[in-house]
Amino acid sequence: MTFSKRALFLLFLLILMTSHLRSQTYNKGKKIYQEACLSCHQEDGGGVMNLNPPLDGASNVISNNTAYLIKVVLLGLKGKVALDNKYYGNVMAPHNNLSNQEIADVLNYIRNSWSNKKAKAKKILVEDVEATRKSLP
Amino acid sequence: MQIINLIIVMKSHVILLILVFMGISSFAQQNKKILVPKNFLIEIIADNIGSARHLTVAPNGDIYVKLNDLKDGKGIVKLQKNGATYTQYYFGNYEGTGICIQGNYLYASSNEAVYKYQFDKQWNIMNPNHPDTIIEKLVSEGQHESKSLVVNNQNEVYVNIGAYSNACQEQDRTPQSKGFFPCPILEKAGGIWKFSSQALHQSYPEGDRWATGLRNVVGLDWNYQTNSLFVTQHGMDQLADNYPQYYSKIKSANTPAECLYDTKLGTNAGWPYSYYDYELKKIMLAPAYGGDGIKEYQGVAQEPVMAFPAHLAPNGLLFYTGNLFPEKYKNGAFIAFHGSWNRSPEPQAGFFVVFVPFKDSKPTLKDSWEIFADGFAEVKNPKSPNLAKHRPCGLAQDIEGNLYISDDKMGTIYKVSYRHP
Ligand code: HEC
Repeated sequence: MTFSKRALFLLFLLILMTSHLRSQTYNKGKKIYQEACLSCHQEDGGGVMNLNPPLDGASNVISNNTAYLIKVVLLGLKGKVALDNKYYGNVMAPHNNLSNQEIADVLNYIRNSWSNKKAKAKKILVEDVEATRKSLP
Repeated sequence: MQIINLIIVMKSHVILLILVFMGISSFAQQNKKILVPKNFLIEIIADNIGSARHLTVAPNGDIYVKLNDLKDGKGIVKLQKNGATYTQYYFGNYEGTGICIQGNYLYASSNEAVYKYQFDKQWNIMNPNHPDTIIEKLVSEGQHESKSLVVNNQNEVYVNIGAYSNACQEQDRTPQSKGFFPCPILEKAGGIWKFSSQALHQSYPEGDRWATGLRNVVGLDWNYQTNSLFVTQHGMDQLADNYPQYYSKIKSANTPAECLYDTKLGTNAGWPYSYYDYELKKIMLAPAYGGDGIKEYQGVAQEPVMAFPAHLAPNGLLFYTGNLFPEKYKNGAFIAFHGSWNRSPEPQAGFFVVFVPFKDSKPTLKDSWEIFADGFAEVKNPKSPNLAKHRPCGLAQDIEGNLYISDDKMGTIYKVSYRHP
């Protein structure tokens, strides 16, 4: 095997591994979504009219304000807040029982699913969740 | 050349005429997507009118529909009957669900208040922009905020004030969180309050708590056979999400039941301390109060008159008093189900209108109900409620005995009539 061939092969292996890792964290996030979020936000991320907001196509979900998303998961959300100019009657409970890793995974899952895929939102790191959790009173 | 021009002009006139016609009314036609029993006819009489919640029909055939979201700043649609077609007029600057006609008055509710309008002799509303506020300052905290209402012929107004909580847990909708005891929500919500249709600016001090322990009632109707108020309650959500140690996801998809109650002064339906298990047909201790899916409730809670599968969301109730439909329907109950959102991983269900036959003021058979109109979803077994095209919500009857169904998703109004064979 020539040097360049070997390099190509290694590169191929590396790509395979990272994509495998990526799909593994995606699947972990999906699992958490199914357990903790799906009943309200639905399998298709479309939410329920008047009750639970959609996550698919939601501007906050794909935004760079990742601290907001981490806070919503840690603290929950209720009260009359306009989300993309609509109101939702249900409440979201705090999900602070999830680990930093789980929160990062589930948020990366919703940011990279459905039509949100197109947005190519930046990845949320465990460190981001840790920092936000620490910043809370 | 001139001839062609003339044709174009004529064509555009025809198109214009058609457009005008469509603007004035929706074209009535047999709807083949909705299945109804033999000899019944279902047609669409209006479409895209907004988030159509409850509706009511005046003696002259005009239909009034309450909108959940304002459309161009307005919250009530009047469908004025002109022969077989309807012209739409919008008024009322508030959102809400409840609407009903009694005597010469139209009553409609926002999520905090009830307003009263007066009809003149031609059944036109005299004060569309200046209704009287008869009830106000009712609790409205987001969850279960709609104020369904019915006014009977004894000047009594019954208003649902839904509980702003799923199960009165210390932390709402949170796994393992305990229930408050006693549940403080029941003081001002989680029940039906009774007011007078004749007084102005009433609130809690002027009203009576007619029935309690009702999590959220959307459908309600006065029954003149029993002289009592029947209500349809929405049962608790998310048993498996919050207490997975006691409830499998499948169990949670099928329980608690959605219940029809016959209420009298002082009725207690048991929320949040108990719930009605659809499969066991028993009143159970709620998990936020020590229940485990097996323990029955030892306190006081009224038995439902009829139990329906979980989460189907009975949003409209109507006792049929007309003479148009066959005898079997007389004094029986129609119930419009909105369809579920929390039955996953099971498919969502219940986008239909049900009929419960009544005999001697009770359901004819204990567990006997039948699907009357089905197919609103236009898809089989949708995974999510978003896939359902239409969602039934309100019911009304006109003096001829035709039945009307509203859909708050697409803003479609259906008319169901009957052809004697
Ligand atoms: C009990 C139902 C429920 C569950 C379970 C739930 N949510 Fe929510 N979620 C809501 C509601 C309701 C809101 C909006 C609250 C409001 O408007 O006050 C919301 C808001 C959000 C928002 C903000 C959306 C925006 O446009 O700003 C995000 C993000 C979110 N939820 C993600 C999640 C994730 C991730 C999970 C699972 C870990 C989850 N939710 C579980 C009901 C729920």
